[in-house]
Formats: sequence, structure tokens, C-alpha cells
Amino acid sequence: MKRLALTAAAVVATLGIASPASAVHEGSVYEAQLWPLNDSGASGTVEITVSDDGETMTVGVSADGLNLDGPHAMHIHGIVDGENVASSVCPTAADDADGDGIVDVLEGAPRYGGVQLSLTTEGDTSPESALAIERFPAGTSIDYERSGIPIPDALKPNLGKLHVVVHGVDENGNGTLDLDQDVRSSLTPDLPREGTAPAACGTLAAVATGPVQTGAGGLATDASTSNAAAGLAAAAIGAVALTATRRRRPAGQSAQ
Amino acid sequence: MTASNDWGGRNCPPWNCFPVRPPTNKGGRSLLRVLLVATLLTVLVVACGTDSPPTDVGTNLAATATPDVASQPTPTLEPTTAIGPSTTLAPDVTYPEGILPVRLKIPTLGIDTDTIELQLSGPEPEVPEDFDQAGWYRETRLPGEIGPAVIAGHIDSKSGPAVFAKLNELQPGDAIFVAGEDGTTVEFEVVRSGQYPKGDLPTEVFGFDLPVPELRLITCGGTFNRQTGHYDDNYVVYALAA
Repeated sequence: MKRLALTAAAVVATLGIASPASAVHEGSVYEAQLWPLNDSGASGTVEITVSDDGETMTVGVSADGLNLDGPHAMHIHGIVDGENVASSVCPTAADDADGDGIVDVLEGAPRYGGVQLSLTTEGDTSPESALAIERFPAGTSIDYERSGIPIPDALKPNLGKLHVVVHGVDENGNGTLDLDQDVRSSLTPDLPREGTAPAACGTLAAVATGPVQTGAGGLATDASTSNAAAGLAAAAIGAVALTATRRRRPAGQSAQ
Repeated sequence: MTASNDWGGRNCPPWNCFPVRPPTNKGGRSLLRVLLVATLLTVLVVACGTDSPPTDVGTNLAATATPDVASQPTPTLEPTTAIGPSTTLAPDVTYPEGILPVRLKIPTLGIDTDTIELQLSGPEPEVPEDFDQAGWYRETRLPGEIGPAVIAGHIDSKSGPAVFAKLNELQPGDAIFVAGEDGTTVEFEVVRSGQYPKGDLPTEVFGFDLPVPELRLITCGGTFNRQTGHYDDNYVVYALAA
């Protein structure tokens, strides 16, 4: 009975919502796996939980293997046009447009888009803080968590199309940020290219936080019989299951 | 018993490392398939190395062109505004728009059904009330967009088979069609399947395999637990744009 009630509630909720734009995103959870760029060696994971009121989020970034023991600017990037967010992908080495061996921060932008939020450790989290190097995590590993980050309205239904990008790559093997590097960041002459080149990128996706209950047992022969996915001839299974179900229906009802 | 992760673990970026798929005698040599093979060969040769040659899959299928960033004027913008949220960074790179799905067709299984919208978020993801319907999770991508669109359907009702009763019969190469409300159809091709304990669906189910339009079909699998009234596992079919 309880399950029936839940199902009915779910259906009502479904009928009441007409388009993807009105997707309820309160409490949603998004995850991303971080993959290395520019031979950074970095890997990691991202988890974002939207608050119950949908206005803010908690962002966790866990990464290690970074080859730059220095500051790592971290942003949520996306290709946003008004209310529309393009479903894009993280860059690859193919995006090294000038062929110099490094995908710099702007060469990656056609893939991950512009900065939408800055994942700073304190203070402002807007794009204005994109290069506030002193307020980002530093080191060869990152264990970042910050709650209460305001979500811009345009991003609320579209977090699952955004990217988390960790910047900061060691290019010359000394493991540190070379402030006097000849090649400067494509964003600002104030920083070396090492400081803003992307080290890792991951594309966010909404994930389920509970079981997807898509079966009621009508095909199950008995509690110890695995279905389907065992790779057996399913037609035969179906026939057996149907027969069994027909035989058992009265007993099954009392058992429930 | 589990059939998850048919091709073993993956330790490199999904766009550089596509799992080996078993030989199939179905289908032809589509462009996508050729590209997948090329990608796979690349992966094998460099062992998913850090300096692996870039795959062109994304460029060829996801975008119309790679912008010539080198020819653009050197940015002289203020650091704090150089790469703001509305900056037009790549006018010549486009990503496909998806369709709002209204119908799902899987010819090899005889499935031709309406699809409704479902909500993934919450303590328990919504599932269709109608056992003969499938439902698209609106927090996932639209079919046809880059990345995975996720559709769920029941394996059975209390009395018999439901819309996804035979999902486990799908084989690599089988076609899946999703039709949108605008009348357009996106075709996908099955590549693999996985089975996971309920409530422990990994990010893999919802994340990217390749930078192309993807489709995931979810139903139940494993043992039916009469105490809980639910199956113990979820069964997932992975498909890519054909």
C-alpha cells in the first residue's frame, strides 16, 4: 500500500511538470569524474549537492596526482547562452589549436565554455574571482568542499551540462609555478601559462540517489531465481516465469 | 552472476579509451563504428598514455570545426573579466540540440511505446505508473544531445511482463529509436550492458562514454526479493548514436 501511494505521488508530480526547463532541481546530486589534461597526471571526482531550497549548492572536489605543487584555480565552466546551456564536452589534446603541445586555457574554451562560477575557498564565487589565485586550493592534491555557493538562475536546471575544470600545470618538470615563464597565460600577462592551463576536466551529470524500482515481480519464478541478466535465453525464462506467475497468483497475493 | 562492466575496468579518459566491444555480425561499418575502432587502436597502441594522440571523435561528430584560436588576436582583457560567463568563445563550434522524447522504438524487441518525463532527483527516482510506458529522466540529457539520455521502464508488473521485460536480449549493434515531439527521430546502437545492485548505481550509468549522443535504458534485474517487493539489481543497456 505504501508503495502504491508513493507511485501515485510520483505520477502527480510528473503530470504537473511539462518541460525540461521546469525540472525540479532542489536536492539534486551531480557527479563528475576528473580526467587529466596536458599530462598533468591528475585524476579525481566531483560531487555537487543542491540545497533543499535550490538556491545554493555544496561542491566537493577530490583530486590527486597533480604535477604542479602550486595554486589550482578551479571553475565551473559551461557554454551558456541566455537560458540555454549547450551539452558540450571536455577538451582533449586535439584542442591544442596552435600545436605547441599545451592546450592553454582559451584553447580549451570552445569545449568547456566560459567560467560560470569560481570554486574559491572563501569569499566571492562569481566569475569575477576566476583568477583570484590566492583563494584557490594549492598543492599536488585537492580536498575541497564548500557549501552555500549561490547558483545563478541560468544554471539551475542545467548543472548536468557543466564542467568542472582544475587549472595549473607544471610544464618544465620542476613541479612549481614558474612566475617568470616566458609563455604567458592566454587570459592575462600577469600569470605564466602554467598557472591557468587546464590540468583536469570533468563533465557533470545528474545521478540517482536511490534505487530505480522498475519491477514488481511478475516475472520472478521464486525468490532465489535470478532473472534475465544471467544471460540465459530470456524467451524461455519468460515462458517459465509467466507459467509460474499464473499458477502462483492467489498465493502471491496473500504472501504480499 | 553480475554482468556489469563487460569489458573490464577503464583507467583512462572515456574519450580516449573505449571499452572493447564483442564482435557482432549485425549492422554495417558506420562512420561511428570506424571512428570507434580507430579510437580503440589508438588506445591500444599508446596504452591510454598521457601523451596519446588526440581522438578526432569529438571533433568529427560533435562539432563542425575546430576554431583557429591561434589566429585570434592575443587577448588583452582584464584578468577578472577575460573569460566571463557570457563570453563568446567559439562561434564556429556547435553542439547538437536534442529532442524532447515522446516515443521509444526497439524493433528487435517489438517495443513501440510512449515515453513520459520522470524526475531522477529525490529519495527514489520516479518510475512510470504505466507498466507499458517508458520514462525519460529530465535531469539527464535530451536524446540527441552530446552525452547520455537516460530512460527507465519496468521489467514486469505484479502479473506479468512489462515494457522492458526483454531488455537483456538486446545485443551490440541492435537499433534503438527515440522520437521527439517535433517529429524527428534519433537512432542509437547498443554497445554494452551492465548490472548493478539497487541503490548503488555508479556514476558510469549517468556519465559520458564518448563525446557523442548516448542513450541508457534502465530496468530491473537480479533476484526478486519478496520481502521488499523489489528486484535486487538494476540492469542497464548502453547505446551510442548510430
